[in-house]
Amino acid sequence: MSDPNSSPVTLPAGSYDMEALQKDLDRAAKGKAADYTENVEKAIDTASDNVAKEQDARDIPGYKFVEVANKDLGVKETIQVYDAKKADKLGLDGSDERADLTNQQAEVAADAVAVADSPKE
Amino acid sequence: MAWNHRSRVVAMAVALQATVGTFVQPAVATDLLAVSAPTNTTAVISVDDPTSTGAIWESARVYLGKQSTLGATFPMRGPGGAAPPAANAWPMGRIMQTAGWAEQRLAAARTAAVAGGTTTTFLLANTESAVDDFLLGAPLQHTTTGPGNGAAGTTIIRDYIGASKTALLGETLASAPAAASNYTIPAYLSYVLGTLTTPPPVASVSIWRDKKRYDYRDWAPASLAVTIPVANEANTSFPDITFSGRGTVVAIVDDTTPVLPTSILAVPVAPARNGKFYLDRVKLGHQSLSFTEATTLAAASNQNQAAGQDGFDIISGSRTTALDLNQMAVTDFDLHGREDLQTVMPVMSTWGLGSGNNWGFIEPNIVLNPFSPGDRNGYVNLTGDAVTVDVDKAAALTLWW
Repeated sequence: MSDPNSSPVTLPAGSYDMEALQKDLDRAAKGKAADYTENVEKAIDTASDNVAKEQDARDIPGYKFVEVANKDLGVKETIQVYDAKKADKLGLDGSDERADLTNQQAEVAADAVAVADSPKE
Repeated sequence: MAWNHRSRVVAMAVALQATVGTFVQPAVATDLLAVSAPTNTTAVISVDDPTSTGAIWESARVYLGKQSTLGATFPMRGPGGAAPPAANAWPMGRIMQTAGWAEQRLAAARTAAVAGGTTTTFLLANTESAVDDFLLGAPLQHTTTGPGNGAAGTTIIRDYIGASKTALLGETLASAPAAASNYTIPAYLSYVLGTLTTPPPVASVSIWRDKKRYDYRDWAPASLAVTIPVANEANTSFPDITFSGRGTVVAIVDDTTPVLPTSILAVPVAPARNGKFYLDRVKLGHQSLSFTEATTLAAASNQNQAAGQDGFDIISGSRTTALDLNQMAVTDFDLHGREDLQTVMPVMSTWGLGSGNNWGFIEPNIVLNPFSPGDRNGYVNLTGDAVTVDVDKAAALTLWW
């Protein structure tokens, strides 16, 4: 029977330093068999330079995921909430498409006034 | 008004996104990708407006939004240089990552003594990994694998058994490696196709057309094809990677197309010759090998999003291999017998033009569909498809230094 600690690992897309990964995985294999899966996940996480660690298809720019307790149900839930700091960092001023449209309309109106006010030749 | 429509003055740059929905502006200095003329098109998402106009004409459609498709072909030139680039630094590697290929980097070569082996296996040193498949796709050099450390002198590891440190090869050697002789695993950059169970990253892409730049975020590939045609006087072609996918327009701005730096263009596109091609570990003459990954992209409905939907997910996919072989004698290679028995076999290809531009491609386990004879430049050829039987690590594309 083959050694369960030598079973193959699946690497999600990301960049892996194979020398570091080998050391981490070998260390994981030397741990307790019961902790093997968790240790392997840690090893993969440590050795990877994965720019997409936080990636979630539900991400909305300027929002963040937070864990909140739902006392009624007695469970913890992960919800998306507006994060003003994050929005500022991304250069978002809290405007949505409607606000953008309003701004554009205001600019067009301002331009129209400017043209109307400009001296005639 | 300046002229702004020279269609050959184009460029493309790509950056990986840490977060879906957030555009990362690709930098001209580090993120340019040397591709042939890219395509970027945008189509309307609309539905008929049933409102009666009081005349025979229908109302204008209800405008729901837009969707963009962009892609390009990458003539296969490696990053070159003296050592593999830093993590996530090679722009073409970023495209590979978005398609679910894990980037594996060995920064420095290592040499150790062989413990034994056969003509198709190496028993590597005890210091190698204890994990199965760990070296799948890695290059391996030894006096038995051919002359030099280029495409003709390097083999690609098809499979690896961690408990016994056994590397299974994609080819058959003339002789087994002698125990205590040295082998080398050169510094390498390998892309290994995974399960895609964990969503791969998405990319931000900029495409310049003369003096205008089109920016897209959340680009995800719908297809990626690696094509490796043999180059010779009758077949004037070179290996390339063609990719296409969907993204969301972020901005269209005036910006002059950047010029590709010499550091990229000085690395030549490597033609597929003076290397190796093995099917079921048998050296065969052939014209082309191509591997196509096709995926279905979808986005979940979400009214909280500006586009009414979340970022793109890859929800299903297929992997197909197409082969164009020279006809061979049944006594040399019983192709049709292998078709009938559905023999599981590797296909391996190596080619290249020097350090950082040496290439290897392997599919460890494929089975053949029926092949048909035809004509290629006056010779009988056999064309047909193959499919991989592996869910994980179905293919590896490797560069070495």
